[in-house]
Amino acid sequence: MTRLELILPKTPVRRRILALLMLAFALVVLWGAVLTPVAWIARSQGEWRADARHELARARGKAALEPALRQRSADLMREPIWSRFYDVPLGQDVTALIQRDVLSVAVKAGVTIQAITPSAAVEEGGLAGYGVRFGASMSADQLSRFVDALRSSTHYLRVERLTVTSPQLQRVDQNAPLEVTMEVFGFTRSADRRAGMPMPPPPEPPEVSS
Amino acid sequence: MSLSWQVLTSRWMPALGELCTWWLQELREMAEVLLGRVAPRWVTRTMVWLGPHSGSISVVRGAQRVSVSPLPEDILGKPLETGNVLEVPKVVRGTRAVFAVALEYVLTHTLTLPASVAADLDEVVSLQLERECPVPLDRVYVHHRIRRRLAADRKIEVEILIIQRDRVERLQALAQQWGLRLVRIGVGSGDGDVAGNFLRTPQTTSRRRLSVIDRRLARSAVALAALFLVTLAFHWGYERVVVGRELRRLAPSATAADRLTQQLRTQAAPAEALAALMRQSDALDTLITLTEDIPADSWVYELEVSTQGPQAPRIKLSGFTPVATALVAQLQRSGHFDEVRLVTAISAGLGSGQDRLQLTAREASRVVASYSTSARMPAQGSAQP
Repeated sequence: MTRLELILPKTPVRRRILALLMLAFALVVLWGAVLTPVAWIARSQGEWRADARHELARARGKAALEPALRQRSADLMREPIWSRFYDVPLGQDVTALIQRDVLSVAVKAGVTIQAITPSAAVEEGGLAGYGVRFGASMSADQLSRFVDALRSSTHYLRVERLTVTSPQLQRVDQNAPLEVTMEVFGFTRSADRRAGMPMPPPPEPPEVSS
Repeated sequence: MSLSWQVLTSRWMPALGELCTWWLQELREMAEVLLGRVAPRWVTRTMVWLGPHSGSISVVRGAQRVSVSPLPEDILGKPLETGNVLEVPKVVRGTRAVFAVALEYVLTHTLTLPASVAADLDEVVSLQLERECPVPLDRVYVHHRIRRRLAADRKIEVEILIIQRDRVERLQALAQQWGLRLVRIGVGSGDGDVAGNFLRTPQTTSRRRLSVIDRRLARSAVALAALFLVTLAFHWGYERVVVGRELRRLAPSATAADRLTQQLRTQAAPAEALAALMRQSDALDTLITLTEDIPADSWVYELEVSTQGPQAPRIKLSGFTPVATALVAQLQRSGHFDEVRLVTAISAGLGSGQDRLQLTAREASRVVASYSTSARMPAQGSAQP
């Protein structure tokens, strides 16, 4: 007995319900087995194409940039800014180098430094800062020369703290002496410090006079 | 493989074909019922019943049947005379018409055949009728249908209906005179059911079947569709291969560029940090700025400037000025300082015309273009107490 011979004896209502169910089933099969997979494949290919386009463009851009990056990497170490750092020879104290520069600047400005002491080191953004604190008595002209000499120093010296005190009573025809205290920092690269020597603890202030 | 294909074609395909035919017929009937309610004009049919003793014309709209006119007795038995045309109501003119003739006008015959001949049933029935039919085949119309399949015996029962050709031709002429569109001539059971269709001869049926060219065209279409799909799949696959090859080719350079970028970023970090720090003003810059902003009639005897890294320098100063609040306002207006606070302000002495003040301020955020070593004086005004 065929399927049709099973169906035909049924009542018309049942036959119609069966036909409608078959229609619904056919639509579901068409949707699920044909349309959805085709749409998924097309969408997947479209997404892959967009990703590939993006990835390809990025890879080509990077590849095109490589020679320029090599050149820039080679040029980087020749940039003048590196001379503004303190190089740290192995076993040498950075603070001593800064003290030497500050004393040299003072000599150029004709200033006598009364006391110079190291201050606590700081580290920030790949930089290690070493400071010295000193006091000196100088006139306004000497202070100006000292500032100029400090600015023209080979290494970058940053004045983080400055105190200037002058007598409250002065004579009009006399350039009164100013009591100046400064805290000056010089910088090394953090990597240099790690490779070179450990961060110095705040030492006992050695009295230096020039 | 060939065996299963044979089983598929000989057993399943006919059954599937029958099932599909029934299904489509059922759907069509449902659609007709629906259309009969929504747009009855579209499904109106004229049913002409021709019996040996009576006849009738009725209009069928879906399940509704309305008798519109009786017909004279034995209209098929009499010759159709010109000028004596039977009038029919105008309502049926132009409609599709089904003629149902009584069983008395038809010869019926049943054949039991092997199921394997189902595919070539037309030819087999013709051969059988040539031997068994009492009337020459060119004078009759034949309709046959498979009435039953005997699965156990692998046989089929074929019902054959035979009608004289001149009767069919008479009905065709009658339909033409009445202005009907004749779609079917079958055998009526009297209760409205019509079996068979003598208009569907093997010749007309063969017109619906696919010819060799049709089959070739269909195969070509399927082959072209398959070729299109294969081409598309190949294109997509080839695209992926080419893009993958290009990405593999570029990968070393891109990786090297990434590595160099990272290396440059690491190497340049201290320089960038120092450059950023150099762009921020330090205590000496603040001293120079303050020297420019302090008016000539004011005098600072104690100044403290402190900064820490990128933070804006803060100042604390003590000095003399004619009017303390005026100095505060001037520093605020300069734009170089903010948060200017007057800590103390007292008179410097009777008759001095000066205030002794102490104030704090913060240098407004700014970027130092360069470290100029121009000869600017530190914070000392020209006025001396």
